[in-house]
Amino acid sequence: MADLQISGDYLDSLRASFTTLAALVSPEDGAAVDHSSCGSEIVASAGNYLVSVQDSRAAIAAGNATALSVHAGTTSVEVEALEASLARSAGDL
Amino acid sequence: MSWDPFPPSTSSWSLVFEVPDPGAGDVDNLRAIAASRTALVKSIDTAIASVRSISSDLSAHWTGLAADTNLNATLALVPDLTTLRASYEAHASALTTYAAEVDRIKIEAEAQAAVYNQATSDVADSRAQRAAIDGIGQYTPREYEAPVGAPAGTYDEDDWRRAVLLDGYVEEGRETIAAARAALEALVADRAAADQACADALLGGSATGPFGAITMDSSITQEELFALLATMSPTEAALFLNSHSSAVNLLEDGNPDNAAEVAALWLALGAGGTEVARENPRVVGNLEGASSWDRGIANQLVLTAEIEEAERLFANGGNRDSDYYESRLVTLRGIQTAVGDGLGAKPPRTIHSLDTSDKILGSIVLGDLDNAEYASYNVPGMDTTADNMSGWTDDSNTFYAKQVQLLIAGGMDKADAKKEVAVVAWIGYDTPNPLTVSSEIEAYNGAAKLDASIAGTQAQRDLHNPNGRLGVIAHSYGSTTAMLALSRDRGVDTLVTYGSAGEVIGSNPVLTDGWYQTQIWDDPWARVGQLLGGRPSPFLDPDSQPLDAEGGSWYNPRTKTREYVIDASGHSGYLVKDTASLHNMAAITIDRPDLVSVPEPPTPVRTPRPVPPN
Repeated sequence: MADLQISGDYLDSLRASFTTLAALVSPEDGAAVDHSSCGSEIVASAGNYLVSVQDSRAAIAAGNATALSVHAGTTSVEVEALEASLARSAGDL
Repeated sequence: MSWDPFPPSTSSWSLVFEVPDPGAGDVDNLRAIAASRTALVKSIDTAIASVRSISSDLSAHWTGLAADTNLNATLALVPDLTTLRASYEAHASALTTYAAEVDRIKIEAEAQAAVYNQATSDVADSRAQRAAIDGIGQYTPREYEAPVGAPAGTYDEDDWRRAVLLDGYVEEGRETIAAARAALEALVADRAAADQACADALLGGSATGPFGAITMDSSITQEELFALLATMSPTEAALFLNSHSSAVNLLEDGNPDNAAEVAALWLALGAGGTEVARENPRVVGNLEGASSWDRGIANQLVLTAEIEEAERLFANGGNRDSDYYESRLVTLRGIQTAVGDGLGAKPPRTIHSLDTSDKILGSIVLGDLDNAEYASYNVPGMDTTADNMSGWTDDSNTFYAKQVQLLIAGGMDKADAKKEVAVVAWIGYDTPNPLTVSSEIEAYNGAAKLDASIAGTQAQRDLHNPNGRLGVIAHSYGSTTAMLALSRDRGVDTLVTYGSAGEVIGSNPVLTDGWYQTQIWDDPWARVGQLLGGRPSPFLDPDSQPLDAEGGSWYNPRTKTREYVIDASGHSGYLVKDTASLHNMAAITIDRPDLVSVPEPPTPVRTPRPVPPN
């Protein structure tokens, strides 16, 4: 019940913040940072490997942010339902 | 005849071709990549600031368990983002340093190459002029001295002086060439050192992060691997797996007996599990214990790749005839059609398993298998192959819809009801054909596969919804298979066999709740299967309970009315909409036996007598 000490509006804004956060950390297009033209095989190989690691890191961070957005979103729906239910009980609807 | 006292040295003249270009590469592109990394550093700074802002703001607006969970998970983003920032920063720094060094080498190499080329050209020119001077011939001129052994009067004195001068030019040119070559070789060494330093920086701890410093012993056991992964953060563990394919392959050892450990690992990996699935789709797609969503992502990648490969082989030819590839394409595309919009479908559809190694096998989940309160397998019988995936998925969808309808009838909210049901359209074994249906071999083989699949599903559900219910409905020979599979206790709640092709003697399904069987009176194929295989009907097994397939009525507590269901008809009629068999199997698998229909005919509607005209 302590979770009722929030508003659906706040959770919606929280969800939006996490969505923005996910976009901020999302991986970029790997092809745009292809190291193949750097003139050295070992650097190209190391560079492209690092890009793939960074992309994975970024994707995981974005995935976690998205999961938080969903969590907040789900809770928001629950809160709205509870608020509506409470309002119905109180005869407001 | 002209004679050249300085024949060209092969090694000297091929120098430019032997020495790799120390200035090779696109410095502008390196700087552009470094700049993009620096831009990402700024983006991550913004993200970290955003996380801190969310965290500090959250507790002022939201308290309680969900808030704490959210806050902790939000704060957990910071270390990952900090590592990512350091990685981008190290990357930008390494490339900036490297680009500057390559640029210097490129400029110096170009200058040395120009010197080298000019000297080479000059030497060639001097050699040509020198060779054109008559009378000096093979004699080696020495300034102010008569040519050694040259007979008097055989040369012109001016020619002699010119020859001396030209030979000097050639000597000088060769020294210049040698010096330029040495300088170029030094630059090649500089470049090799720069390459190595850059590669080391790109693969170093600051760039790759903590997992990069952890090495994997090739003799590591699976148990040691789980222990090693447990020492890492979820993100580092995911990256470690993605960087060590042997570690991912090791997870397959003993699967599904290790399904609980795999499930625990997947729970810990969080969003990292999805990355592991994307990077290792052929392992994760069928890894029992991995999350159903991630398996779906992996199997979709595999399916797309297999379709592309089959299209290529069909168009260009392979080791088999074109009919083989065409047939394979039809099956694979059929699975794609069955999965439809995937996660965007309603309910979401994911490919739970996909075996393309020989005869194609697969299964599609409708709904959220790991979390749904009521999950069921729908196991097919004879002649149901992956070619029929669309049809089997549609039948399973009808079953899903009926379960949802009954949950709503039982009082559940519609949106909740849709979330709380999941059905696996499981064509995970090689079903028999009419010639092999009397044999039990396919049932035994299929039972092992069904048992493995259930073990994986239960491992996930034990973590996400330990109190949820898991049922199996099994048709015809699929019931023969399911009864064998469920003889091993996997905590399955309910089994419903429909139109069973008979029970293998010795089958002893272990179920938490109960075993039901239903058979339509006009289903000849069920009896044929039982007779051909010498397998008794489950009806005769005292452990089973009959479930009506005859038309009748049931009480809908939501509408407070009796509603009617009709007779099912024929061997393939059990999952037809509005039938008693479909309705009752759905009621049993959502643990609502009170909603099972009773065989009573609908109340006849009396036609009012016509009122005679006055």
